[in-house]
Amino acid sequence: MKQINLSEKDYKRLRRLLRYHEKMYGNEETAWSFQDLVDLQEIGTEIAGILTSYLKTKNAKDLLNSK
Amino acid sequence: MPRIFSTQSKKFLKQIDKSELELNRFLTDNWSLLFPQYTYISNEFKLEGNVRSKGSSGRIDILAFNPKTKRFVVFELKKDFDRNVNEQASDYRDFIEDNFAEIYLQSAQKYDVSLPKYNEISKDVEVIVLSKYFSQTDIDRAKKRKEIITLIRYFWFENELFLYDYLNNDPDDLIEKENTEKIKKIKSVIEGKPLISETDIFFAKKEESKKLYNLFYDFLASITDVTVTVQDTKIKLETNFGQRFSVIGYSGKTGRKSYLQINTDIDVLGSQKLIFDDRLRPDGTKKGSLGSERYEVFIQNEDQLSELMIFVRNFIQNQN
Repeated sequence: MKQINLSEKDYKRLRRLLRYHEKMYGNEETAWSFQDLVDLQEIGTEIAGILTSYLKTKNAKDLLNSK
Repeated sequence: MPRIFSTQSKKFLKQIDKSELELNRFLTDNWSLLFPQYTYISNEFKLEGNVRSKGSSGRIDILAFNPKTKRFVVFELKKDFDRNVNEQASDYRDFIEDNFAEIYLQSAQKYDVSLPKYNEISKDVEVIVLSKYFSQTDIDRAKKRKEIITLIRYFWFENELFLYDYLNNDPDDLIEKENTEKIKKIKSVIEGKPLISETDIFFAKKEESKKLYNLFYDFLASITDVTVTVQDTKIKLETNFGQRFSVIGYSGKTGRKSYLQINTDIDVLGSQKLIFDDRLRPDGTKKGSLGSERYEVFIQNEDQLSELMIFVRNFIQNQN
């Protein structure tokens, strides 16, 4: 399987976003405010943004098209 | 696990469970009593606007500023257990570095906090983690990193009692250490002994290294405030113009025949005179070094040191 190596910077960004997501997400007792939901959505969008840049490369496109 | 026994009611006080939000409000409301050494900026600090860089979502539990070290201070609050505190410190450092201008502006404009000039603030960040439990590994690592990460354990008890304990960097210990140093110096003066500074001890018998270091230090001190931290392997010089230098002494017998290695992030690529190593690899990672800065500059003589000083001076002029 082809492996994708994230840059150190992106890896750290993802790590921070995921940690923050985990913190906000909480557990079954956590009550969210609307602002919390907006923030969770924003984090999701940013995570997608970081990952998308790797899927736009030629290698990734070739790999995905070959399936 | 700490226990509190009330001699008045003859019983152990019960531990109370409170949310992270309650802890946040409690600290914010009692800031000047609990953390008088830090300037409070905001709780739930969030970057606003469309100028944010990638990965900048999320809130900082409490953002403060340390006027002594001129660094932003990030408070991370945990309800229970915390893990990987060192990773978090590293991530926050990147976050502050990536969004430095926005954080500075927002602190000064939205929260009306009086901060030093932009270029006088260090881009390093201090992280303070409050949690009920920490692993021994995290405590040991935080102790090694000195003032960058501070771990505080806390507990809530009934009767509105809040117990907190610095696991490292206790401000009371720092005051005590400073006083001990002062007493040591006074004692030496009374006894007529020469004062031996930490720097003297660091360079030991490397006289040439010490001479070059003193020239460099005097140069920096003539243009900025310098904070000197002597560590086991290096001397850290932190300046008010946002640059830090790591200094290591050599005996002149190494491959490069140098007496001093000065690590810096100031770009010295254009120099013909300096011997230096750019630690940045093509993939963006850095080669290992005793200092975290990008360039390792090897100083063999005063001439090369003067050249480095020119680069430092030019850097400051370009900033202004």
